Amino acid sequence: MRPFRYHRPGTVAEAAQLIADLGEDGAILAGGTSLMTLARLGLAEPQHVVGLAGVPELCGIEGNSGDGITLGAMATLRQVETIPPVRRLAPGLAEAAHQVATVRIRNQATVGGTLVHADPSQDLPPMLMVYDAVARLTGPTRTREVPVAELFVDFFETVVDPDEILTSVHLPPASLGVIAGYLKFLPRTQDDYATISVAAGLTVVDGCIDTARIAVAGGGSTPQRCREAESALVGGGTDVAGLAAAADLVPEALDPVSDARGSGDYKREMARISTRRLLQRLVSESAT
Amino acid sequence: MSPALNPGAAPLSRRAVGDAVDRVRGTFTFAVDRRIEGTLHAVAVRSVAPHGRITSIDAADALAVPGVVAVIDGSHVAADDGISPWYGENRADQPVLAIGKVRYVGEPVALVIADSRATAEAAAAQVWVDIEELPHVVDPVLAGAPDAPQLHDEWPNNDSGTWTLVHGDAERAMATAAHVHTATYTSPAQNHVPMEPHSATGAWLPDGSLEVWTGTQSPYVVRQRLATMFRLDPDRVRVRGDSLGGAFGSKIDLRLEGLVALASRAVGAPVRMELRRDEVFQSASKHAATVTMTTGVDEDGLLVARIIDIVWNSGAYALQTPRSSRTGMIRSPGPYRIPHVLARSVARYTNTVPTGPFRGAMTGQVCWAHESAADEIAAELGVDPVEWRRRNLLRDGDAFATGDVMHEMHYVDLLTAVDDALTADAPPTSSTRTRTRRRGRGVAAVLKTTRTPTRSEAQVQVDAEGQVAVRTSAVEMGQGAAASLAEMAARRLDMPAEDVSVSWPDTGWTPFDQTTSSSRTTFATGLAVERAASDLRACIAQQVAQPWGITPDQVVHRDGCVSSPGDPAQRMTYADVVRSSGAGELVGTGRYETPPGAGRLDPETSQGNVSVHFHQGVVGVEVEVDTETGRVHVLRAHGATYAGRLIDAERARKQIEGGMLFGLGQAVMEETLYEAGQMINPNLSDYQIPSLLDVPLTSSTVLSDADPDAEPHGIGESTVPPMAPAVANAVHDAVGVRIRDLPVTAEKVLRALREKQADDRKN
Ligand SMILES: Cc1cc2nc3c(=O)[nH]c(=O)nc-3n(C[C@H](O)[C@H](O)[C@H](O)COP(=O)(O)OP(=O)(O)OC[C@H]3O[C@@H](n4cnc5c(N)ncnc54)[C@H](O)[C@@H]3O)c2cc1C
Repeated sequence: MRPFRYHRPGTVAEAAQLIADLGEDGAILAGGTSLMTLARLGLAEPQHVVGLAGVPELCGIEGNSGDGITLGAMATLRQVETIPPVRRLAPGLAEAAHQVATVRIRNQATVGGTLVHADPSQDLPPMLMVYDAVARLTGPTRTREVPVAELFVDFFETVVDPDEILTSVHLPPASLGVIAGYLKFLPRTQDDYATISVAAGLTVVDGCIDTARIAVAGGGSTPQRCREAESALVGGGTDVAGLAAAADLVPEALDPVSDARGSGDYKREMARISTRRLLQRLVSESAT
Repeated sequence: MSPALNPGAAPLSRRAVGDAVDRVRGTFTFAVDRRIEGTLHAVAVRSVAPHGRITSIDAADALAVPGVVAVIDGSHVAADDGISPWYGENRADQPVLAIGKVRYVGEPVALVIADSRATAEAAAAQVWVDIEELPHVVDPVLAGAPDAPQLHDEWPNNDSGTWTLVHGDAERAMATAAHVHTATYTSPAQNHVPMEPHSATGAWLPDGSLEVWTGTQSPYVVRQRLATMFRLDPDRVRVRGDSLGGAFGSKIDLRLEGLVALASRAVGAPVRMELRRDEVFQSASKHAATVTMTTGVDEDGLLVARIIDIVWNSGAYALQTPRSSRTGMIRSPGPYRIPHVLARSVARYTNTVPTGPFRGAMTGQVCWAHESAADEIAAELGVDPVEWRRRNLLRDGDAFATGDVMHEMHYVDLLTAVDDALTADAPPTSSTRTRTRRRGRGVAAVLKTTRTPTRSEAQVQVDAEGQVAVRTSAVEMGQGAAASLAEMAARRLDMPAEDVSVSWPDTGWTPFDQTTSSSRTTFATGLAVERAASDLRACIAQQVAQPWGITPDQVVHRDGCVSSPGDPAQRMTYADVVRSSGAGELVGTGRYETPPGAGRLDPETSQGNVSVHFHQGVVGVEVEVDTETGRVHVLRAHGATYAGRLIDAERARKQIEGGMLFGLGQAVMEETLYEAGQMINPNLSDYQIPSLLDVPLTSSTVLSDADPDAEPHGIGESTVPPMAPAVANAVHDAVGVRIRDLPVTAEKVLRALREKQADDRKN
């Protein structure tokens, strides 16, 4: 690994300034679980690294049913998994966080790092899409908000500019009423990346599906919302046939790569099976 | 010339019993932790082409990097009269650095030596190697075709070993069989994945001798190879070892030792190397194999004849393949009584990572075939697969396929123990069984020979402080060998094992041992240690018997003391005995060697006495198969083996249960994948091994012989090979599909299920 200079700003403004000044030579470091791995493999060779660990504004998780939930960019995945407001108000997100790798990784990996790293098989992004989450970005001249569903461009590529810092992710209060869940399909080891995984959220009113969100990880170059399947659910009942028909629409939305975790065809089929199983589970949860 | 790494020092040693505490705390020292002051660091530049001619190597840019001391390549090696660069166990076909030609992606082409590993790594990326690519071949069956690319001019047809076994007349007997079954079973290349990567440090001493610290399983083999390579008397090469953080066969024979010796020779200072994980994947592999097995049985299901054809993929270089492919062939009939056997084995060079021994060496591939076939045959006969095995398993007095008349056979008892364990538990509760989850059980048995002929030597000594030390060249690699050797010595000396220290291997001090492999250490090294300890015991008795006016065999040994039976005043500690002897220490020596002629086989028919004893293992598993995803979940596994004289029950269980976990990965997920001649998953994300969360419920049975004079048998591998076929048999039991191509992945199971459903609908 090539040696680099390490900078430790204390505020977002300082960090933003540093990033702007360093330009292409600099890289932001959050938990380092991805960046340091890439550096060790020679796939990233930053000369300057700007560590965000000393920026208090970026830490912490806050939330209540009135305001929604705000996850600081430096909140760890272990915090997302365990902190009471998330578990109570957005249990689907805690469930997805619980599925990431091992406790050791979750203690280190952060919300901001997960989103900007943009591996299409990661667990948090599809679940954040289900909760209509919005990312807040701070650049040298402006701050902006981008829905997580619009954040990803390609393998390991997002709309976040190199001089922008992702400061937080917000789950709006309206999204917190859904019954959400996560199904990570792991045919090899239990701490693997997903072969395919599905996040879904439903609201059910009088036996009828009122809103639906379905997002899939591992199904292509980015995590994807499956809007056709969602539309097929809305307005329908909660019978198995209806859920299965919606799940049948998921594979068409996907273009997974064939790799050591399975062929593209297998992943598509597993997305269908997983979606149907997850929807059935959510419907049965909604009934209790 | 550089200073000695540790001039004149005696071998390092430590207390062996209870080292788990250090392992858990992270204070245990492994080979990769060894640092020697003043060392430089080498990193290999590796081939990116699977097959080609090296047209030029330009190191100018690398040499300009500050901190780089030297860059050497095959041309330097070839031009050096002091070096014989080609090595191998049976044929010297592998160059220490590629000379003129590369034969696999990852082959070392040059070495960059620098003042830090990071600098060497960075500079290695700036060595420009031009390769004129040649057509490549990765499939061993294709490598045998007349127009296949040829890897070695000296070894035509890519042949890296051809053998036959002829026992009776299998072809004729097959024609008389009431029922014949034939099928082909394949298993892929896999990696050993030792958690600790390979590392070594080499230095030339002022007197022109060579010293190497290395994480090796075979210090004396390494010594011999280095002596040959650098044209030295073996006594002028000192190989020093540490404990290993896992090896599983990947650290046998020459690995990094030739490279660090070469580098040190070039720069006149000690040089260290340590592999990255991708380099570990590029350094050694399990042999992929294709096994076609035709089996004939009579009306009662008794085996009549078996014909076996095996094609092994030896990778780019032969290393041990010319010998070990025969060993694998010999084990291929399985632990059964078969009057007529014909086996034909061919190993072929391909442009893939060179192969080597792999825990359960050359046996997993053939066990996969004969144990899958066993269940298929039983199913065709309508017989329970456990019952079919019971009828056919070897018993005392039966002849094995080599003609060996078997003794100490315990297969039927092992099978019964496994079957009982699987069926004794309460049946699984129905709440966990849904329409899409089916459970099934499967068993598998294995026979493995042990390295024959073989030789081990040992010393056990006590000094004037009463410190007892065992000196052997056996390697501790997590298997608990050191603790078992300490215990074996302690029992002979009637003293606590906790007070016995065990050496690290050091060919400068510790006596000869063949290798730490083949489950031979407790058996062969252990017997040598026991004999050395008995020799020391006799020596101690000799010292006191005469002054006490008794004969040596009247001397009583207890708790590290000797006494005279008639006279309580006559009592001495071992330390007292040494002090009164006037010698600094008393030393016992011992040696184990297989009997003359053992292991000698007919070159054409492979008939003879193949092994001094046979490793016997039986495994049973219960699986749950998800019929919509194909996911196979191994719920529990029971392993059983025969240990001969048992040294330590707890360590034996850990070998049996650990072996099953090692086998689990190979059964359901492990496979190195090649695309365009290049391994595409040389990392632990794409190539996975079971994690703690994947561990099923495990349990074990150890059968043993209570006779204190019985020989201990090796048990370190006996449950590895049967794991894969046991899982495949359980999958078949659960959902009726048969996978003949390892690993048994979810995707393959689902595909087979869908095909079966389509067939069932047709019928
Ligand atoms: C062994 C292992 C197993 C894994 N398994 C899983 C798994 O099962 N599921 C899963 O989802 N993920 C898995 N991961 C990936 C893991 O989730 C990511 O590595 C992690 O989330 C990245 O977070 P980090 O804080 O460590 O990011 P870093 O490595 O610090 O940064 C990652 C990238 O994001 C950028 N960045 C970080 N923070 C910001 C910010 N605030 N603003 C702008 N840019 C930023 C960095 O510059 C870098 O490019 C695994 C990783 C490892 C090492």
